[in-house]
This record gives sequence, structure tokens and C-alpha cells, in this order.
Amino acid sequence: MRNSLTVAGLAVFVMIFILITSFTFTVQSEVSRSLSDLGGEITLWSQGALLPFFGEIPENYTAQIEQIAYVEHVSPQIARVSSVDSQDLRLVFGLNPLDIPVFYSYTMVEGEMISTNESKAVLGCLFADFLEKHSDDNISIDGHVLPVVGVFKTDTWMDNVVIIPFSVAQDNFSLSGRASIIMVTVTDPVQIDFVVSEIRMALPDVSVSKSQEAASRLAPLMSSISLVSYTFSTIAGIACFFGITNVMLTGIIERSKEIGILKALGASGGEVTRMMLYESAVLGGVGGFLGCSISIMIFLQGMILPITSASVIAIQIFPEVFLYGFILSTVISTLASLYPVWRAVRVRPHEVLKFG
Amino acid sequence: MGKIDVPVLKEVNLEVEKGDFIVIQGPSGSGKTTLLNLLGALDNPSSGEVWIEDTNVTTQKEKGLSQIRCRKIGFVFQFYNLIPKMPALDNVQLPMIFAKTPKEMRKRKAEELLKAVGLERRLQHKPSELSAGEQQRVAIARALANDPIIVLMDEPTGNLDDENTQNIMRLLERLNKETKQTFILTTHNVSLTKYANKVHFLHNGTLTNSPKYV
Repeated sequence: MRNSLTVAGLAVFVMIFILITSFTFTVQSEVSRSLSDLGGEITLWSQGALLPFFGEIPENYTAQIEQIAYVEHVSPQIARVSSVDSQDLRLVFGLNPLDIPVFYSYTMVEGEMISTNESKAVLGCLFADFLEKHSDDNISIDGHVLPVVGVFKTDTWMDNVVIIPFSVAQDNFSLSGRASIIMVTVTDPVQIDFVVSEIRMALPDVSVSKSQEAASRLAPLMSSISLVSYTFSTIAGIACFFGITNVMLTGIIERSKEIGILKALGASGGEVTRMMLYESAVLGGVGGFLGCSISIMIFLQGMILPITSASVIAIQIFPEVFLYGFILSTVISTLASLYPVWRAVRVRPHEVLKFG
Repeated sequence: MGKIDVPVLKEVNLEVEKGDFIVIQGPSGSGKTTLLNLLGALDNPSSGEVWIEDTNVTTQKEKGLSQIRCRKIGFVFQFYNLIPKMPALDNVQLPMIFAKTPKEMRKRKAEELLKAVGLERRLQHKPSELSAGEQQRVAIARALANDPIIVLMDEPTGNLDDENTQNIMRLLERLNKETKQTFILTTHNVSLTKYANKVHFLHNGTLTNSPKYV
């Protein structure tokens, strides 16, 4: 019974660790993927912005960037979370119509892509399905009514957004003369580093990074998410550690006679230590295996993280997280038993055997 | 406030010859168990010395004491003290594991010992599946596992009925003659003294000066 409870406690810890860590890894992976899906080769955003989409930088920076050698296209873009059809908080993108085919790969499911700066909108296919909207319907963005002229598909997270012309976005969101981010492509990929350094010199007040490395610019945010998740895991680990120590100490009292017998039969302190640490490691291994197994079953049922009422992120399975969980369970179980084992080694056989 | 030392044994001087079957008889509280604990390297005397062959037990560190217990001494307790979750065969093999006896050899030896105590049909029975007399036979087999110089038995028949007591004592008598090992047995039962070749009486921690030869 005691061993079963220890194994159960370890399994719960491993489950908590795997679920929290998988959640963290999934968020980090999704954010990285989202940034890489943005297109372009160089990304500029406001220095210090928590997320690149939600900062503000002057639109006229585009003119300065266009002067730099090897720069091919420069696209100011706006991203804002807005109420769409009073339904939901939804990411609305303001893009120059001419930039869209340059920076994004898409196919039209119905209708056509916006091609002028008229006040019109296109919907990502997933969001269109959610709203049950089609071409020629209207949508309301923060109270501004726009006709829907098409539904597009990218097979990325962009399928959950609304795209409107950049100038319309500036008007609707009161961002005249400003943009959220600026995307840049270059004529020669070999010159990306040169272009990046030139932009940094010309515009020292913005964050500039290669799009492939954009995710790394979010390192502080990702670190914060990791810190929170590891804090929870650590608290669970510490609780588990002391729980096992307590159970093991109780076990030593219960098993003091058995330990006394072993010592009377010639077991040395080292042998008692090895035997009990081995038992603890096995319990840790069994608890770890059980926790991993239950976690897999939970994942197979579908672990999803709601982002909005219409969109979710499926928490992914990272094999290394299961390995870490298994190892942690074994290590915690073994470490937690060090003090009880020390107590066990000090059992004096004649004291525990004299009453039969 | 502190511990109060209560002397249990006083001026005990006991010499044991190889192959002796010694019974130390005395009432409860006379110090029999304490004497066996000292002889068995389970406890240290507050003064005096215990020697086994050429080894001064009282100067040994913990590791040395465990080596003495493992290789030179066998224990039989009143309440058998078998490991409940292990079958008889594994219980007998335990001391041999600590003596680093190879697996095949210790299994064969354990089977031989259990056969010697009449339990060849009970090898895989756990203690809970054995009678009191059978459990004590397993304990005796276990005590002989590492061919100890001395087998110490603390009231080995104290928990048995008369018939089992006589059976166990006859078994011990036979084993003592066959193995030529030294058996030291404590009991409060005067009738058991007839099985010994030397008898000592322990009363209030004092051992009679000269053994009574039977």
C-alpha cells in the first residue's frame, strides 16, 4: 500500500511535469512557427514591444529602408486584436494589397483577394467557417462594416485572421502614419546580414531580425512562460520529494525489524543503503513509467489549449519531455530516500529484535 | 536529564570450545539476550571484551562487525524473524547473499540445509504458510547457511509447544554432532539442559563460575 501510494504520487508529479512542460514547449513552438509563417526575410518591430504585432513604428521608415542596397520589397503591416461581428477577439491584419502575393502563399477558396485600398475584407477559411460568412457577406470590425470579397486558405495560423487593406487598418485603428511591423525581402539572400546591419544603423530605435531568427527575439517572453511553468513543476517536485521522504521514513519505522534482521544476518550499512536506494529508484521508475503512460493516454484523447472561442492549439507530444519526466521521477525518488536510508542504516539490530 | 546506565551483566567470564553445545539457562530478565547480543556482535559491552577466535569483537568498527555476523555467527531468534514476503528457500539464501556466495551455489546449499531440517517439501512456502515449528526450522537452516563458527539461539523453543520443542532440540543435537559447530542456546526452560554438553546458569546478570557438565 505504501509503495503504491509512493508510485501514485510520483505518477501524478510526472503527469503535471509532462503536461506543463508540453504546454510551454507547444506555446514556444507555435509562436516560433507563427513568426516564420509571416513571410519576408527581415522583420522590424518596435523595440520593447511584448509581442511584435502589437508595437507601433513610423510608417515612413519604409522609405528609408527602400534606400538600402539589396532591399527588394518593403511592406508595412498592421496587426490588431479586434471584435469581429461582436463575436470574438480576432487578429485583424492590415496589408498593402500589392504586398500580399509577395509575402504570403495562399489560395482563394471563394471570391478574390483584396487588390485595392477600398474598404473591403477577406477572411481566413477557418474563421469564415466559424462565422459562417461567405463572399458578398458583410462583417463588422470594431463597429466598422466591411464587405467580404473572398475567403483564402494558407494552411497556417493565418487561416484564423481577417485581412483588410493597410490604409483602411490605419483609419480603423487610429494608427495614421504608423505600422505594427515592417517586413523586408532582399534581392540577394547572401546579403541579408548586410541589410540587417544597415537597417540597424539607420533605425536604431527598432528591433530588426532575420525572420528565421524572429522567434529568438521573443526569448524574454518565452523565458517568462518557461519560468512560470518550471516554477509549477518545481513546486510539484518539492511536494513530491517531501511526500516520498515522509512515506519512506514511515516505511523505515515499519521495516525496522526487517532491516534489523538483515543486519543481524550480516548485511553491512553499504548493502542496506544500496538495497534501499535501489528500491527507491525502482519505485521512481515505475512511477515515471505510469505517469508517462497516463499522460500519453490524456494526449491521445486530445489536449487542446483554447486561444479564442473559435480557435485552439493542440498541445503537442514532445518525446524528450517524457524522457525528462521519467528521469526526474527516478532521481526525485532516489534523492528523497537518502535521509530515510541514512536512518535505516543506523538501525541497531539488537534494539529492534529484542522484543521478538 | 539523561540516560541511566543499568548494568545487565556483571563479571561474566565465559570460554567456549569449538563444537560445544552450551545451554545458558536463566529466568526472564537475567540477561540471557544481552549476553547473546554481545557474543553475536550485535551490541558492545560497556566494559570488557568479546573474542571470537583471534578477533577482538569489541574493537571492531561497523563494517568489521557485519563481517563477523555474516561469516562467523548464525542467529536463531525466539520469534524466527524470517522475512515474511520471501519463501523459505530465499530466506535461507539471505546470509549467503551478504557473503557474496555465487547464485547457483547458494541455491544448492539452501536446498541442502532445508532438506537437513526436514523441509525439502516446503522450499517455496512463505513463513505465513508454515507452522511455528517449521518456521523455526527455516530459521535454523538460515543460521547455518554461511557455515558459522558459532550458532547463537535466543529462546529458540520459547514459542513452540512441547512436541515441537523436543523435535527442534533433537534436530539441534543432531546438527551439532554432524557439523561440529558451536551452539549456544539460551532458555528459561530447565528441561532443555539435557541436550547440552555444557550448561551455565545466569541469574541477575551473573553467570555461574564453572559449567555444569551433563
